Amino acid sequence: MTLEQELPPDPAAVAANNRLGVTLQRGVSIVLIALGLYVVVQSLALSYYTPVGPGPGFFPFWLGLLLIALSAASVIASFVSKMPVVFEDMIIPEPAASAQMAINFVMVGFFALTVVPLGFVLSMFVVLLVLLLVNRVHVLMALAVALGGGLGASYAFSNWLHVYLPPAPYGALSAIGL
Amino acid sequence: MTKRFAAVLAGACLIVAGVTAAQAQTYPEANKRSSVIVAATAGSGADITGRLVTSGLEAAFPGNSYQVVNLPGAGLQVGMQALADAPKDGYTFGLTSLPTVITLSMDAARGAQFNRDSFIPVANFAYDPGAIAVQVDSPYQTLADFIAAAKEKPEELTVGVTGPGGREHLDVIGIEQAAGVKFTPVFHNDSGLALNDLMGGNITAVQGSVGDFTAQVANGRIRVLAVFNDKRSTFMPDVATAEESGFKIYSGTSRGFALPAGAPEAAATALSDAIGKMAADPEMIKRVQDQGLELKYMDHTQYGAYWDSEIVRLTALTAALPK
Amino acid sequence: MLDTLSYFVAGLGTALTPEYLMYALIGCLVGTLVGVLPGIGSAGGMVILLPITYGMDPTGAIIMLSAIFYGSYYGGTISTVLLSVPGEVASVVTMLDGTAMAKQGRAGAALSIAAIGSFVGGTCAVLALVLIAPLLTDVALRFGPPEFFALLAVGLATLSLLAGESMLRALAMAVFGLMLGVIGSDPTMGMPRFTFGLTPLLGGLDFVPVVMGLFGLSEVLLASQNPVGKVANVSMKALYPSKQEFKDSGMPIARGTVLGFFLGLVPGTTQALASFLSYAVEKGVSRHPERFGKGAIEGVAGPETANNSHANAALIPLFTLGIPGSPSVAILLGAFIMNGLTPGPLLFSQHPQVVWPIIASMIVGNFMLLLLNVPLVGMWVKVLQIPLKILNPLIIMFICLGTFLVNNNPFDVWVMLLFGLLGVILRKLNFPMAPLALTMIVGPLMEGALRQALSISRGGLEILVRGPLSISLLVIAIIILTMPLWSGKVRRRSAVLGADAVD
Repeated sequence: MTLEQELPPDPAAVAANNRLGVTLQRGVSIVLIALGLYVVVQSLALSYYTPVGPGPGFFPFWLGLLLIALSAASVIASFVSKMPVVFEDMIIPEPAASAQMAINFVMVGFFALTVVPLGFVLSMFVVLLVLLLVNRVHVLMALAVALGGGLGASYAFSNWLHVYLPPAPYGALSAIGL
Repeated sequence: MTKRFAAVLAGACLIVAGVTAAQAQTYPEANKRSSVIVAATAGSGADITGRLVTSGLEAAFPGNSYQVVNLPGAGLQVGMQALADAPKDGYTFGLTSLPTVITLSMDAARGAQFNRDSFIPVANFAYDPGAIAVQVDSPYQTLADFIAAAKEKPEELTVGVTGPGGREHLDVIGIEQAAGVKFTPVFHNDSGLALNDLMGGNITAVQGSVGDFTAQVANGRIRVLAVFNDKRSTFMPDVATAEESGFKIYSGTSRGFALPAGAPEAAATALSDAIGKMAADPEMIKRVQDQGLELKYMDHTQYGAYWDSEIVRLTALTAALPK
Repeated sequence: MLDTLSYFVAGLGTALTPEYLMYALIGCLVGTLVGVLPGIGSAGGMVILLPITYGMDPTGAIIMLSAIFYGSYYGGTISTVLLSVPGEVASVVTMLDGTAMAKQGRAGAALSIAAIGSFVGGTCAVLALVLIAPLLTDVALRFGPPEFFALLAVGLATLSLLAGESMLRALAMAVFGLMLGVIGSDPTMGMPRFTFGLTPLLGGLDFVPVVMGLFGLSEVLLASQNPVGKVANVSMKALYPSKQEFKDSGMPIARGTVLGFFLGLVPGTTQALASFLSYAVEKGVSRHPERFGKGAIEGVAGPETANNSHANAALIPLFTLGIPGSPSVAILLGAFIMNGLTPGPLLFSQHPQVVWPIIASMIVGNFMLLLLNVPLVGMWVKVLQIPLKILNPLIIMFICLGTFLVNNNPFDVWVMLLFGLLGVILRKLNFPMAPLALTMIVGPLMEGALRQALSISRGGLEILVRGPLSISLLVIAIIILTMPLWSGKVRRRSAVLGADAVD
C-alpha cells in the first residue's frame, strides 16, 4: 500500500488540524441542535400523555430538548475551556486516502443497489474486484480473490448453511448450484 | 421513496427465469424453482410451518424446488408488500398469517400498499385458536367469573397482549364489546415475557393462543379460562370454549398461503390441492401438532371466504381502538 | 442435594458417551462458525440445524442445539478482535479494546483471554444451574415491569462510566442513541414515529446494521488513512497472554461471571446488555480508566465473560420455569416442545434421563470450546498475515453480507452505509460511540417497561418504587450515575470528566 502517512511533524500543521477539529466539533453540535429541534417539532404532532402514562410524543419531546441543551452546552464549553484539544489523525486525509475512502464507500452503495437485481455472487464479485484493483493488487490475484470470495461465501451460505441469498438473474449461475 | 423501495423488494422475488410461464397450461411445469416468501425470521414458528409445507410440496411435485425466502420486518408488512409486488407467474407465493395481514393493512398510519385484492388466497394450513389464561391460584375459574369481576371493577383487571392493535389486543376489545366490560391492556413484545408477568402476579390475565399456553398449563402454573374456537382444543380438552360460556367470539392465528393477484388461477388450485393432500397425511398432522398447532385445511375458496369474514369481524373491532 | 449430584454424575456419564460427545462437538463447531460469521447469530445457527434434528433422539438434538447457542458467543469474539467486524451483537463492546489490542499485536492474547473468560463464565452458570437452580426459580418472577425498568435504569446509569474525554459529548451521543431507539411503532399506541414513510423502519431501527456501520465499516474506511499497524507480529510469545495480562483479567472475569449470571436470570435482558454493563463496570472500577479504548485487556475479559455467563444463565429460567428469556432461548424451547418435553419443574421429575445429560453436556461443551479456541488462536491470528490490501475488501464483503442477511433486505445495507459515514465523522472528531450503542439497546426496552408498569398502576407513578427490589435498583442507578461527581480523587475526576470540567 502506498498510502502510508505519518502525522506531519510540523507543529503549525498540527495546530491547524486541532483548530479545524474544534471548529468541526462545534459544527456537529450545531447539527445535533438542529436535529433536536426537528424531533421536538415532530413530536408535537404525537399525543403527549395518555391516561396510563406517557404517550408516543412524550419521550421524543424531552429527548429533543435534552439534545439541544447538551449540544449547546458543549459548544459553549468549547469556547470557555482552556484545555488543549488534540486530534490523533489529520481530519482531512491526504487526497489519495480520501479517494480510497470514497471508493470503499461508493462500492458498499453499489452492493446495496445491485445485490437483488444482479444476485449476490455477481454483485459481490464486482465490489471485490474494484476494491482489490484500487488497492493495487495484481490483476490475476484480484480476479482470483474476487471470484473465490463471492463464490465461496455464496456456496457456504446457500448450499451449506441453507441461508437464502439472492441468485443471479435468469438462472445464470444455476448450473453451478447457485 | 416507499414506491421505489417496494420495487427493489419486488426484485427480491425474481427467482424464476421463465417469461412465458403465465400462459402455462399445466402447473407446475417440470423442474421449476419457486420462491416462498415468509415474512418472519428463520426459525420462528411461521418459518418452521413454511418449511414443513415446502418440503411437502417438493415431495408432491418431484423435480420442482421450493426456496423459502425470509423477509422479516415491520410486523409482516415488509414481506407482505413484497408478496403483493411479486412476479405474477405463479412461481412466487407466500405464507400469510391471518388476521395480522388484515390488521396491518387497516391501520392507515402504517401506509401499507396492499389489501385483500392484492392477493389470491391459496389454502389455509395450520391454526392456533385464541385463548385467555390466568395464574393457577387466581380466583377466576371460568370466563364468566372473570367477566363478572371486570363488571364490578371497570378497567382494573389487566390483560397482557402483544403489541397495540394486534390480534390479541383486538380479541380483548371483542370480549369488552360482547360483555360490556372494560379491561386495561398491557403490551408485551412476546408471549413468553407476558407469561412471566402473569406468573409473577403482575397482571391478571394473558390473551394469547393455545400454543402459547400448553407448556405452562403442563407445569401447573397457569389456568386457561376459555378457548375462542368453535370446538374444544385437542391440546386442552377440559377447557370450555368461549361459546360454551355464552360469548360467541371466535379468533385465532392462522397460517395459510397466497399468491399475488394476477397470478394464474391454475396455480392457486394446483397448490391448494397439493396442500390438501398433505393435510391428510398422518405424519404431517403429527409434525404440526408437535409445534403446538392444529392442522386446519381450507381450500382455495374456503380460505378466501374466511379471509373476507375476518375483514368484516376486524373492521368492527379496529374502530374501537384508541386514537 | 445428593440426589441432584448423583443425577448429574449419571448425566455426565451419558453425555460422555461417544454419540453425545459427537453431537456436542458438531454443535460447538457450528456455533463457533455462526459466531464468526457476522450477521448470523445464535438463533440463525440453531435454525440451520433444526431440520436435521427431526427424528434424532431428543437428548442428542437438544445437546446439539444448545451447543450452537453457547458456542456462538465464543466465535463472535474472533471476527470482532481480528477483523473489526462484530461477529455477534453481544461482542460489539469488545471491539473498543479488542481491535486496539490487535493493532498492538496482542490479538492472540485477547482471543485467549476471551476464551478463558467465556469458559469460566459459561461453566459457572451451568454449575449454578445444577447446584442452586431451585433457589433461583423465583428470580425471574420477581422481575415485573417496575423492577425491569429499575434494572434498565442501572444499565442507563453506567453511561456516566462510559464517557471518554468529554462528558457533554458522551451524553449528547447517549441522547442521540435514545432517539434512534424511538424510531418505529411506539409501544403504547402502535403509532409510527420518525419512520420517514419507510416501511422497514416501522419495526424500529435494527441494531445490527447500525453497529456494523458505526464500528465495523468506519474502521475499514479509516484504515485507508492509517493502514499501518494491523498486521501483527505473530511470534508464539505474542500469541498468549503475559503474566500481567492474566493478573489483570482475573477480577474482570470474576465480575463478568457474576454480572452476566444475574442478568441472565432476568427474562428480556440480552447478552449485549450484559457485555455493555460489564465494560462500564470494568472502566468504572479501573484505576486507569484512560487506558480503556486503547487496548485494555480488562475491556475484553469482562464483557466476553459476561455474555457467555448470561447465555448459559438464561437457560435457568427455561429449565426451571419454562420461560424463554430471548429469541434464541425460545428456539430451544421449541425444540423441547417438538420432542414432547415441557421445560419447567416437571421436566426434572418426569424426564431426568433426558434433562441431566443435556445439562452435563453443557459443561462438556464449554470445555470443548475452550480446547477448540485456545490452541487454535495461532491459526486464527494468521488471518492477520493476509496483506491489508486484500484483507480490507474481504472485511467489506463480510460486513455487507452480514448486514444484508439480517432481513434479506438491501435497506439494511443502506442504513449501515449511512452509519458508517457517521462513524467516520464521530470518530475523527472524538465523539464517543459506545454510549450511543448502549442507549440504543436500553431505550426501547425501558420505554416498553415503563408503559407496562404504568398500565398496571393505571397511570400511578408510585408503582416504580413499589418494593425493595425496584427501590434498591433505582438507588444503585443513582449512585452509579453520580459516581463521577463524588468519587473523591481529583486525578480520577479529570480523567472521567475530561476537558469540559477543567478550566
